[in-house]
Amino acid sequence: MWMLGRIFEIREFTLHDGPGPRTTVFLQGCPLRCTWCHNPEGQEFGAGREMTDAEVADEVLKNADFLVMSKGGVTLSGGEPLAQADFAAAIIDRIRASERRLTYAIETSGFASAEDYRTVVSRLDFVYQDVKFPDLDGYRRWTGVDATPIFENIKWLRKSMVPFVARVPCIPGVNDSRETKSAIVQLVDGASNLRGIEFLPYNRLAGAKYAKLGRPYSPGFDESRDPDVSSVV
Amino acid sequence: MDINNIDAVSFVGALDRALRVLTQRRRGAELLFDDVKREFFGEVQRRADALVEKYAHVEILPGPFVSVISTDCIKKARDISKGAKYNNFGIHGTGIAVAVDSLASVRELVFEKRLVTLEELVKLLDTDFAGRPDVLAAAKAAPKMGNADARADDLAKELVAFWGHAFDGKRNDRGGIFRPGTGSAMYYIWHARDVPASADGRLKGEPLSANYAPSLDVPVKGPVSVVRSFTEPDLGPVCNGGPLTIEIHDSAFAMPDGVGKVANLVKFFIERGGHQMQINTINRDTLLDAQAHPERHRHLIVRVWGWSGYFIELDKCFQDQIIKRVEL
Ligand code: SF4
Repeated sequence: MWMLGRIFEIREFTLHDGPGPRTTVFLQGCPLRCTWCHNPEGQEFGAGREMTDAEVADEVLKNADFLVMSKGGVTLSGGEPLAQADFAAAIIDRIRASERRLTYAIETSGFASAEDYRTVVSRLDFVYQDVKFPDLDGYRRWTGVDATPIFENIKWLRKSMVPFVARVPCIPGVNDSRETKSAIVQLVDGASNLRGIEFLPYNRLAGAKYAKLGRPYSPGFDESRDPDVSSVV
Repeated sequence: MDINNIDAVSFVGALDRALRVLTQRRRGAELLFDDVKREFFGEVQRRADALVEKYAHVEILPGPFVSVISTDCIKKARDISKGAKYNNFGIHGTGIAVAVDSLASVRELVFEKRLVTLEELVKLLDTDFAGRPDVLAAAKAAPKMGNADARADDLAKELVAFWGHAFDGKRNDRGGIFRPGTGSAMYYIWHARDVPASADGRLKGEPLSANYAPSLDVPVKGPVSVVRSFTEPDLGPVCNGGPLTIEIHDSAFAMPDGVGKVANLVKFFIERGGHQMQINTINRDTLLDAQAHPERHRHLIVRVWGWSGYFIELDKCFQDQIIKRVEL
């Protein structure tokens, strides 16, 4: 059986998404609306290109020889890959069926039902878990969602065996204070499967993409300021 | 003495000539894509033969110092300019990717989709596709070398295989051979001046691909596919060599294991029979800023072809070519 889903890009030789060089599959659509989102073209669910899990797997496996040789693998990203959880799981299963020695990873906001989150994450070798805020208020104001499932999923992830890195996109004046960052760290600190916490500057070039899409870019914070990406660990 | 860069054959020029000859010679009989390939390879061979004749005898300025330190010159009491142990001449083949992409485009547009006839296409090349934006768009969308797409890579295989034997049995009057190669040296700039638009959708005046690398501005999937495409041909016979130039964003090297990950790409290239790879670690924004404010970028070094240089000291046409190279 084939399954249909939506993809906005399959990019080869990505270097920032896990062990070894990887192929990253960007799944179309995201339920969040982070005001600084650097992939606005990936937000709408109807956009992108329709593909079957088999087509995605074929495309990825074209470079299987290289990925195996360099101990790399496949990373699912988006958009929010878990918004198409069944499709994401089908892609992983399909690639895994090739029996090539690849590793599987995901980059996720964690905004998904507990079932969807566990179904996909339990298939993976590695998780990049976004943690944008330590509390519901921050998420509500800056990403437009009720983040209860995100915190539930992070709790489950901590207790799972799946190694993960917490990624914090640092936004100037929004979540880059010492207090906020310390509170974020508390959420994941002490988990035996935590492999690191990355404080990353948000992508400044987002504005140009909005102009291309004919959408206003009003992130609501001082873009002239550099975010504080210093670690608090 | 060996001369690596004695001259070059313009593959793009040879293809342009072949298409024109075909449209003039044609009488009734239906043309096949194989005829296009045959005429093109025939023209490449004619140009190769002309160079053999041109460089059969070469006078070089005497080089007493080099002679003193070169094998056999003293023993034979002969200046290096009169010949030494090695006397081979290297001949570049310029614009391989543009020529292959153009062939792929001719096959698709003229013989498969029948969007235009060969006569119409040749006329459009003289007018930069004026009045036919649909043909230009189709030409740009046709298969391109660098995407691990067999519809382009198979043609590259044939061209490289032909070129690799274009000088078989030929010698210069010092006994050296002519070595065909896939590099371009500066000929990618010079040869671009002599040709009109090409069937791949490159307009007149736009630069050719440098070295053994994808055409400029073509959408490629990424460096793994580029390496795959450019190692499909058997590079053994094109023994003068020629670098695959790849641009990698400098952020790759700012991360802990970045060098290791890029090293995997080099290993993959060599294991697939690659000759030579040049990696530029650049960032388009930095290069644009260096054009606008050269005083801030005095130390910026880039790989040009067989050499590296200070970016701000390059002629603008070379700077622009580097900026336009696909940044992966
Ligand atoms: S979660 Fe990621 S893709 Fe979704 S809106 Fe936020 S930044 Fe954009």
